[in-house]
Amino acid sequence: MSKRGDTSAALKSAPSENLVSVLKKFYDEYMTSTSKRLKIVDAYLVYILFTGVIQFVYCALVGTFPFNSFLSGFISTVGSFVLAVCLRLQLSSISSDRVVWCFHYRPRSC
Amino acid sequence: MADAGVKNDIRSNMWRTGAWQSLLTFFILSLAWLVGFSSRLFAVIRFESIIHEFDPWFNYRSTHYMVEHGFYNFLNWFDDTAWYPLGRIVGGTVYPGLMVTSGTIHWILHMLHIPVHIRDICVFLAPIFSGMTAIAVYFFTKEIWSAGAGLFAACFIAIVPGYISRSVAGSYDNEGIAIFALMFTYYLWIKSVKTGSMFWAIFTALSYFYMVSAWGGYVFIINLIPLHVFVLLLMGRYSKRVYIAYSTFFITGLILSMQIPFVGFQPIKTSEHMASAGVFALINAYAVIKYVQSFLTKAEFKFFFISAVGGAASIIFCTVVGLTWAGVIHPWSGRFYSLWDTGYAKIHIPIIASVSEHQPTTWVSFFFDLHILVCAFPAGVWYCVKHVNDERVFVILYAIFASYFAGVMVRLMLTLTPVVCVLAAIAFSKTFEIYLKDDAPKSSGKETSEEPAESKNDRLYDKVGKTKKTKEEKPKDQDAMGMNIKTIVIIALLMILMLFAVHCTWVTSSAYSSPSIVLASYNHDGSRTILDDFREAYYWLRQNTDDKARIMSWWDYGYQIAGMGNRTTLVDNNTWNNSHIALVGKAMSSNETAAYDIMRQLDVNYVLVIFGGVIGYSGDDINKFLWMVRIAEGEHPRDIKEADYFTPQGEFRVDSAGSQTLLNCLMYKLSYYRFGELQLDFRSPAGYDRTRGVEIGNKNFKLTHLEEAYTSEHWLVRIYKVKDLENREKVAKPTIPAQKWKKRTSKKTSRKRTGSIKNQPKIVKGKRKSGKK
Amino acid sequence: MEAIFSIPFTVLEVPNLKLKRPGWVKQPSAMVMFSMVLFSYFLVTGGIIYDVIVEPPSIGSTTDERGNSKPVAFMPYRVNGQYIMEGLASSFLFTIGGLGFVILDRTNHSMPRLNRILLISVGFISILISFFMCRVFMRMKLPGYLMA
Repeated sequence: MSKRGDTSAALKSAPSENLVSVLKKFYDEYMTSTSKRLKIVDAYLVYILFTGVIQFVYCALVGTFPFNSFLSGFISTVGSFVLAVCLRLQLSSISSDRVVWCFHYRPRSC
Repeated sequence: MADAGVKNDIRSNMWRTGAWQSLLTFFILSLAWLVGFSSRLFAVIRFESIIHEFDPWFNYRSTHYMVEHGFYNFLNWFDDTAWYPLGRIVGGTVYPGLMVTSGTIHWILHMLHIPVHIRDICVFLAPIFSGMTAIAVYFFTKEIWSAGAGLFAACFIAIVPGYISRSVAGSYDNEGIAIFALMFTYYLWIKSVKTGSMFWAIFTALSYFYMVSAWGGYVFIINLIPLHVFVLLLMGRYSKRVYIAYSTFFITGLILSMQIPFVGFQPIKTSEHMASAGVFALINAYAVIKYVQSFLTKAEFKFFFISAVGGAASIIFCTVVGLTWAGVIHPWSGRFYSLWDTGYAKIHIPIIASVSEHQPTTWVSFFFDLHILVCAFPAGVWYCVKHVNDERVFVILYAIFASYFAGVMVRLMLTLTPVVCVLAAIAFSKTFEIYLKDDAPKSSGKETSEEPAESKNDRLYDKVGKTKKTKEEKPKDQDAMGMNIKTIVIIALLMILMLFAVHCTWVTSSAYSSPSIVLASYNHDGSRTILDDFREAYYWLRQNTDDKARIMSWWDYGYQIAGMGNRTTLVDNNTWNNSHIALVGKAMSSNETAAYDIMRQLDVNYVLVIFGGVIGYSGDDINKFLWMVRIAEGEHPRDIKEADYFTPQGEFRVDSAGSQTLLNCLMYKLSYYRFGELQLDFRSPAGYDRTRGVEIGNKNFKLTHLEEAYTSEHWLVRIYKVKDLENREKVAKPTIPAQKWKKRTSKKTSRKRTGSIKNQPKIVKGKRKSGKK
Repeated sequence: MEAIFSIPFTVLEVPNLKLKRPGWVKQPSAMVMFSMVLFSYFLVTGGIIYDVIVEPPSIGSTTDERGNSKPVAFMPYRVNGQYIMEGLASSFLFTIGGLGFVILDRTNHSMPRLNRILLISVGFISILISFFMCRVFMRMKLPGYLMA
């Protein structure tokens, strides 16, 4: 796991090209390497994200009355998003072996 | 053959260590529960099963209301007999966990047709929950270290005085169940960080919900857990288990905690909760970056990372600061702000500063409440630091912050106590492990395992004989010495633990078991006199005053008057309205006429004061009087000045050298009315105040606007009735203009018999009188 | 668009600096952290916060029958009051007791025999001293401690 600490040679090229190429490369690799099951979960995640963003923008534009409804709707989107991410994490640890994380998993001791 | 085989099997099963271990564990934990329960029963045995102190009376009254009227009526209860004329929204200003717990137990027992009165359930709730706390601490320590340390910790927390002080039988207060909820939540959190499963994280959130419903100290949990996650991130110990555990816990806990009406929208609007949201955003950002890292090369990733982190952190920081500045996010409330800026409360919020539990801690409190554990505590921290892993980081953080907060406020010794028990248990367990272990067979085992290897080598080099012998002799000498010293150390530690138990029992018995509503004094021959003045006076109120009578007293006694006297009070222990309390303080500090005006405005019928001069009770109202003056001065600085109540030398005296303002104020007069005629014993003069140790200065005065209604047996509680307005205004000294009685000589002579009119105007016909037009 | 963005750079020059985290900033070792924690524990249990807020004298004084003023080390009869010196003395004892446990842990078989015996006895004696001195302090402070 690389920490923020060790900075060696910094990139000196112009920012905009690099960002676009980085994002493109990321998108290509994502499309090829993730399994179909994970892609379904990812699509669900994107949908939830859009729902949350729409609610937040609506609240910012129109006002916070009634606050309870906004809170319940927004927190339920955030909650569903988080729970789906946890599901995805657990799925990806089982299925894929390309993930380069090192995680400290220990079997549950009774 | 088969029988013998089976028999051998049974015998070997019986002597299996696993079975013995679980039997011992069960036995020790149930003993700890029993000991913890019994150790808290001193007050019930010495006096009776009664609710103690002040705050528990309100909790008892609310529980009684809930049991009688139902849960929804309790949530919607508006109490118009408290804080007259403002009233109090009880449903929205109370933590319902305590009442719901007792109500549930009451309901279950009544369903089983076991008719236990709600008062008995309330009195014995805290001891029962202390046993459950011991079990929760056992599980917590088992996750952190080992089962042996867990048993130590359970036994420690069962009898340690720091926890007993708030959970004796009769102390029906939030902390009794809150410490159980706290340790259980922490145990579930450690379990979810260790396993990384959402099951445990959801359970943590549910237990956190119970904690939020039980006590205002839940803020400690919602700041410690994000801090733990943040430190793990800083230490480079991020893993997907931490992400799963924290994100699930945060979001479920957030929405659950907002279900309590008292908490309301605070988790998203106050600064105390912003740390958890910030860490949530941070760990999400970190997880996204980690995920992206898996797709990119190192160089590309570094660039992406720096820009993303810089942008995200600055956005979040500016948002939070901006929202706080704009007032959308409320700053730290006074209660919690005074934990950081310790001088703040003394200057700005005298009510918080006046509570004796909010004073900073002295070393005596540490030793009194924790005894030997306070020495073993840093050793436990040492062990955790030496063998650090994810969950031990949590314990270390808990220890550091809890010990700082316990140093600031005596009341917070309670949150320090569980972690001290855990860490001291770790220290003792590790020490015993090292010193109880018999090293001899192991070292000889080492020798025998090394021998074949060596003999193999030696056969090649032909050097066997001498080296073997000398090696065998040395370890025997060392181990013999070692075992002797080890047993001495072990015996000494065992004796120290026994003395710990003696100390805990002594402290519980002498310091923490007084109901404070019933006082006891011990005579020279050891017999006991019970001073039941409080209940006597409150019952007098209940039986002899009108149902809608309003009682004015200092805020300490509001809950007791409402609970036992069942009358309307003006201010009580909730202290939510400082101006109302300042008004009562102003009435107590002014002279009788000005106070009467205030009392007429507030519609007061009776005034109640506590006076300890006859028996030497030091918690009476004259000793609290300066706080009344300070609080009143905070709101009415032009009418009340604290310096007026001191002598020119700066002393607070009630004898003849005291200041005139003090000697004529309402509190003085109500406390010492008719006291000047009372001579307690032949050695001291009449009007000798035992608490202050002086003879009072202003005796033999009369009250004009109040009359004495009731004084309890030992003059502890004095109740006065506020007289109605007079039918006509009595002027003290009528101003009759001084008349000179002139000696009248009669103008009637023997000749002139007609009388004459004095000052008769002389009218001349045809002419007008002078001047007028 | 690019032309607009490049206007400021005709005047300004991007500084050629590399920001590096200075070499001496490192994550502190475990022992350093522990000693910091122990020092703050020493201060807190000595009642330093009480001292800062209430500002008691360092040592109290009473006058005896002949009018001489004698120093008083412990504020008697009150659990919630202390002098500065008594607080620091007691927290020193607490720390010594904790260090005794740590010393007991640091002994192991790989040391020469004399060192091991000395270390065990030092650790053991410091635990005993701290415990009994704390008891004596409590007796001086609360004369009715552990009686009746």
